[in-house]
Amino acid sequence: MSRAFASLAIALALCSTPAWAGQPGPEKPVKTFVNAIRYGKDDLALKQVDGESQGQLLLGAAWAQGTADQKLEFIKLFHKIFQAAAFPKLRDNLQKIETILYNVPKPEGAYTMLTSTLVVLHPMKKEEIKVHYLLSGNKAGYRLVDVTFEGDQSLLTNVRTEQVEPLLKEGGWPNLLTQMRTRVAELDARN
Amino acid sequence: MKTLILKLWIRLLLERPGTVLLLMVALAGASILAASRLTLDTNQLNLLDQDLRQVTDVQRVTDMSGGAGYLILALRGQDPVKLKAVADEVVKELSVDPEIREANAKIDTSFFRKNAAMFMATADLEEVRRRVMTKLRDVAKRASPFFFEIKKSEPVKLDLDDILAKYQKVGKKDLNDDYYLSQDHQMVLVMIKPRWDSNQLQKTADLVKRLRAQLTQQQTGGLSLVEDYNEAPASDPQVIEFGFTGTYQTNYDDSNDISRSLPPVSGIAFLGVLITLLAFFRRQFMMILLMVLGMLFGMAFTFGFAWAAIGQLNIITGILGGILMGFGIDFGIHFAYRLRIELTRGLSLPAAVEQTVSNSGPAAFASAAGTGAAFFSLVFSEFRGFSEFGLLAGVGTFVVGASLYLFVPAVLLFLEKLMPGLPRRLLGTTGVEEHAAPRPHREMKRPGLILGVASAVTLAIAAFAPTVTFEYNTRALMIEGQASVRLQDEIRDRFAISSDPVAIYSKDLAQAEEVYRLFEPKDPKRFSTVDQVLSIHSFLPPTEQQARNAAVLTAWKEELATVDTSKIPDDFRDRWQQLQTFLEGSPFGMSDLPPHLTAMVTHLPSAKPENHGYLTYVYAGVDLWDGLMMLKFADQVENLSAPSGQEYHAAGLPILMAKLARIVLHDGRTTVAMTAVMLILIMMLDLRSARDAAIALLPLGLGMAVMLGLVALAGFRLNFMNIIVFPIILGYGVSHGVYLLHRFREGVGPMEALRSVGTAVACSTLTSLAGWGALFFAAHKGLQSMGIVACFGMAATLVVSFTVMLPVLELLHQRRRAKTLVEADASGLGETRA
Repeated sequence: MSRAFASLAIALALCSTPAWAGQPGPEKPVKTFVNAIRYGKDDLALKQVDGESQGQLLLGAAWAQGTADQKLEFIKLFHKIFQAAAFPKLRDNLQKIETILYNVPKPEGAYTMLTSTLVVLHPMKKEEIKVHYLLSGNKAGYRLVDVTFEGDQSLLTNVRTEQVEPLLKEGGWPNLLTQMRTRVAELDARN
Repeated sequence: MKTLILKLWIRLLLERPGTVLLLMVALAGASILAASRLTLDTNQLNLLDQDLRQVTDVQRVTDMSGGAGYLILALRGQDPVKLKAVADEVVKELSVDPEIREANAKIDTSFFRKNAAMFMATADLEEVRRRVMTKLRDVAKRASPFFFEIKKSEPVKLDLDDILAKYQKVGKKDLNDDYYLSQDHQMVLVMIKPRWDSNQLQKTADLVKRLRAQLTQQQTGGLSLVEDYNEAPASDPQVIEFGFTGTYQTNYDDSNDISRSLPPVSGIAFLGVLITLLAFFRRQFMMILLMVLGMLFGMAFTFGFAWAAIGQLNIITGILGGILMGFGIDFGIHFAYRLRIELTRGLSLPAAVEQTVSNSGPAAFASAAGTGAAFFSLVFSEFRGFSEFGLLAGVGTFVVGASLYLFVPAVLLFLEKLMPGLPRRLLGTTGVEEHAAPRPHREMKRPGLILGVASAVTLAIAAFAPTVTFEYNTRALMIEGQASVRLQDEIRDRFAISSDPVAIYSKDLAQAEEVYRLFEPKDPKRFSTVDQVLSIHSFLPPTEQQARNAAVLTAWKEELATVDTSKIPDDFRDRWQQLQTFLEGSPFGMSDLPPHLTAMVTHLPSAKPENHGYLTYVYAGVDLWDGLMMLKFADQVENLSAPSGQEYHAAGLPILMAKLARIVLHDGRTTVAMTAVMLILIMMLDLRSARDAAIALLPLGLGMAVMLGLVALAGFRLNFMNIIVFPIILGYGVSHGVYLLHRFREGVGPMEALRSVGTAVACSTLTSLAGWGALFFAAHKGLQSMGIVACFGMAATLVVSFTVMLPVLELLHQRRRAKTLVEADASGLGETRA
């Protein structure tokens, strides 16, 4: 299943009826995240994302080996890349949302899994896509960690296996951070 | 026997010169009439023994496929759409022409495109699937709004060229377009198969003329058509250039060009002979006229004989006129010089003629026998081009010699009878000249030194003989710049095709499969010269492979069903559609093959019942103009043994050319050996002395070595045509020594012999050089090379005769004189000798 509909899922979260109306449910950071992107408030969007948890999931056991400075720099650089490379495309895709239905959230280890069903109207047919959101935190406040389209690997799993792990294997934390700095410089230069 | 013939000959001349002349004129008239019916066949392949298996195999393929080769109309321009439109128009017109068996500008290849997956090796299909899916995943991944990279990477490239290259052609037809469209899209071909054989040249000429007129008058869509053989397309997009080539056109052009170049060669030879005679005989116009007339009589007889014995000339015998002029006039020259000597000695004309025929006749006969032996050695060649040349040139040598030894004295004696004294006045020998008086003995000074220097120079040049190389490229022998051949080259380059294939006959499908399996899968070592094979089984992949591939396609389709097609970027849509068509392929059998495909590899309905069956076409992957490569290709594909024990044979032009090349190389060696043996025997019979025979043959061996050394030094190469000049040079070269030696054996010293026959030898060599040298002006480069090698050879044997043989004779003569003086002293006559 393609991940192209992630933006639709996130955007629909904003306009659908929340499951836990009246209290800050797991859908809230998703809605905020998408709305912030839509209106170009990238910093607000990034505040909805749990960088520490993403770091743990992306680096696995290596996360613990990093210094506090390295971890902070990783999160900063990762979000920079995420913002520069993905947010513009997300903004384009937010225009294609039809409707969304949320299921009841379920605990998933230390996280909460929120499943939704995107309904997308194509010119010739109606399509339903299931999307799973992984959130950290509790009822006091949730933050977005990962997104998975049914039948596909999650966003972070893809990034971990295809990009982070090879770079770590190649030269550990220093290499990973060097590559991320280079990429950020490239993206800054492009923008 | 020799004496009896000489006596009869002399008696006939002395007693009945008028009768001799009358008979000669009558015979010449009949001969000219016969010779006028001679035709010229320039197709070398027609000169192979028609019973050869290689020839009958080709005849069978011709019967099965309706004639070998095509007339190809090539259309060149910038816009392929316009090219196709013109091609369609031409095909439409030709398809209703009763003279045309078929005309096509395209072939329907949709069957292959539809079933492409079935034709692929399963491993290749799996690899295609892997690469396509990798690309699709990458495309989908990059289409995701969440896609980003920490380390930038390039999108996956979908490159299937290495695999598709294996399957994009069937035979030599590209499957990407039904039209015969070149890879650069600048040329479209119309393949025309007339209802006649490519050797019926006039019919081809008429058709081409008609097509040319139609095309130049055609103004379809504002286009103008222009015949042009320059490779670059016209800059004006409204101009379409066209040209004709293919077997039909190149056969016609070959024949036409050769036919046009031969008469000038004979004319130049005649002019050269005439100039040489004028240079040597100065104002003796009467003698020159008699010699030329005698030679022409002899040539008329020879060509009359050619009509009676063979009926036509070929590319080799076509040059006979010039060669015979150069050779034949020699007999007249020697006769004339000797007659002059006898007349200046004060003899009457009849007595001088008798002396001339008696003395120079045997030498002339020995010389003719040597030259004739060389020519006759070619009679045993399997290649009729050589055997017919050997027969005609051998007979011609004797006939022209006899003609001159009859005609010239007969005219002189006849005139003498009518007007006594007139011939002498006309010949410019009216009285006793200084020759009549005894002359002091002339001897060569320091013959040992001369022999040493001459031998050193000879050996120095001969030392280069081993470095001479052989030109295996038959293209180097053709007429240069022929338009249809240049167009053929252009087609080869534009379409990336090698050449016409060879065809292997099999009587049924099982045999056809057996042949196909010999080549597929290809053994790169055994068939290193083979590019591609086309068989009925090329259209029919193995059942097991089709089943395996169908399973791969099924699994692939299931995998693709999970792909959201809405994520495919627009620039990938076309390829997605191609993929969908590709996945539609399904297993098929023989009965599913379209008829137009099976017709390509089976017999025509009109084929003889014994020729019904299947053809497997094998395309060479090497340049077949390169003789070595051609021989290697023929070695690999001509004779094939299947595991069942069945023997199969390839047929086609490369096989015939390879056979021809082998015959020529074989004959080149055997005829030289045969000629050498015959010359030794002739010299032994003529001179009856091993020592004298060795001396007579001396200029030959050394002359041949010098010739090869000169060929190497001048940067020329031996080839399939000039190799046949070798025995001729052997045969001719011996004449130098023979005339000198005969004179020497009459008791005169070598310098005296040189004085009396040396000029004649030099003159006759120059006339022969004029005959062969005329070939320099032949358009055919093979004929040119024959002239070059022959001239080198004759000049070398002449120079060796004068510089090496003479000192040897001088040394012998000095010994002979010393011995005579000693004997004279012993008998008390010493004081009376000079």
